Amino acid sequence: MSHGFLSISGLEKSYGNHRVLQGIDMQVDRHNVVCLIGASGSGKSTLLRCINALEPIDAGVIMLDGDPVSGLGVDVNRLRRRVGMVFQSYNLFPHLSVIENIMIAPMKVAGMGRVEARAKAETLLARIGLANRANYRPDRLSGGQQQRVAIIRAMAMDPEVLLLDEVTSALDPELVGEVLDILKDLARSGMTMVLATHEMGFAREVASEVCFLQHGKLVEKGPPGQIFTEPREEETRRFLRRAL
Amino acid sequence: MTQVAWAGTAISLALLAFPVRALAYMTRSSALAGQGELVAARVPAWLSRQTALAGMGYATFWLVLVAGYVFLTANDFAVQKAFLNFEYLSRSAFLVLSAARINLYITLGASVIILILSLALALMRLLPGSAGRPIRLLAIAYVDFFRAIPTIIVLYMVGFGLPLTKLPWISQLDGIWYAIIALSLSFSAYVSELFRAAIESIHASQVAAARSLGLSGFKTYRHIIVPQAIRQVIPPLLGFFIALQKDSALVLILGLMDVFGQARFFSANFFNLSPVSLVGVLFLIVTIPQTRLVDYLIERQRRHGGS
Repeated sequence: MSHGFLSISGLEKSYGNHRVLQGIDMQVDRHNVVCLIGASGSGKSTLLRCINALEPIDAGVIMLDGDPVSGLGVDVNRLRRRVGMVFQSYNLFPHLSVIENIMIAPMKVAGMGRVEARAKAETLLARIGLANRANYRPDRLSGGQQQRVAIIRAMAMDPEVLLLDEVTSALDPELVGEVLDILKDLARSGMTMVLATHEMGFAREVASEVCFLQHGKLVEKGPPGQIFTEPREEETRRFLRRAL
Repeated sequence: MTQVAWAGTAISLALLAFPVRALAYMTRSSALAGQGELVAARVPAWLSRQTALAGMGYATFWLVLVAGYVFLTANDFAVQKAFLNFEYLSRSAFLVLSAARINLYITLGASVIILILSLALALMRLLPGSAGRPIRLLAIAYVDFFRAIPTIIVLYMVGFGLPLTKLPWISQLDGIWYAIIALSLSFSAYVSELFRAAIESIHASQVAAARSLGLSGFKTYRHIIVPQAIRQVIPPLLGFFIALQKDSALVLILGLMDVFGQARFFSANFFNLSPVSLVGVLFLIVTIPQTRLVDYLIERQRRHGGS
């Protein structure tokens, strides 16, 4: 077993008789951006949810910097402080204002004071150009704005790795760009990220490594230059022909 | 009284204007149709139908009004005298209305207990896993039990049963407290189902988002789920609060001198129901604005996409 910062080996996950993940092995090094590509239902989202312990796994090992993620005796709440997650449908808390959405985890999980948490949230909001929306309710923002807030809500906990589950799939096409720009910034700043995405152009530009999943198996992985131009596997080639 | 009869006849005749106009429109329509102006004929035809329908509506309204008047005045005003005798009304009004404070105490006291108890029951019923099963079963048994038994029987059992137990404190409470306890027991069962439905309606993605930020299961409930559920539950909760106010009149069976008990005392003395009518009017005045408020809140919530 090699020792990436995030290391997954032999991961199995089933829902009833349906084997969603069948023996996934992968490593993510610090400051790397790994893009998971594949058709809907290929297991990308489930893989991310397993890394964040939102789904119990059936077999295999997930290690984060040498600490096991799953199994008995793992403090999932401590783990999740180190792993941020952003969802396809933003999942902002509708009863809280934008800034409260960002402040709640630092205050209630990290025990940060209100003043400090607010200052941090304001800095983050300014970074994505939404400082003037701090006191809005999430439902008054556009989809792109909501997703940007969701990203910095996760960043407010200073996670060591950020998981992003098709974060642009629910957006109108003209709003995708503003969200991808934030992600490019994060990648440049050295954030370790694992993304499930359908944005092939983005994957090509930003990814350190691209993993192609199909029917719960990791069919092929490699640098984007290789995967997108000369994929080794026939299945990858077929998928990319349809997707590009 | 002849003035009333004349006025009634006049209004009834005035209502005939509707069918007369409808007929006029119809004649014009068929005239146009006869000239081959089929499109133009549709306008007076439509007007004729609308006028006829409006006439039927107003006539129905008027008919109900007349029927009510006839009922009240029949047998030399027997009904009006039985239910709305102004002398008896004015003689009993002060004591009856001041007895309403008993209902106010009971309603407010029970509301506080119901809110706490029902939220606790809902959360008990939503405890996860096999460790939570015994507590879940307790909550389910409670809710089933008190939803099955009529409130008035709970009231009777608590109000007359507990004093017989000779237990310290529990058997020596004031009657108002037995009323509060009984209504709380009964209503909590219903209201807890309201809370449970609201909590379950919060989408699982909210839990995923909260847990992914590192919030524990308890903190997720405390800061994310319950606040959203409470917002959703406010309009139907107010509905139950209104029902509770009305059911506070049931405490009469405990012999409490609440608004209804006091009114019944007077009506038995006068051999006349006017004091009870007063109670009815009081409930009307108190309840109707609240139901309108509930309607408004539901409408507002619907417009804001249910959250």
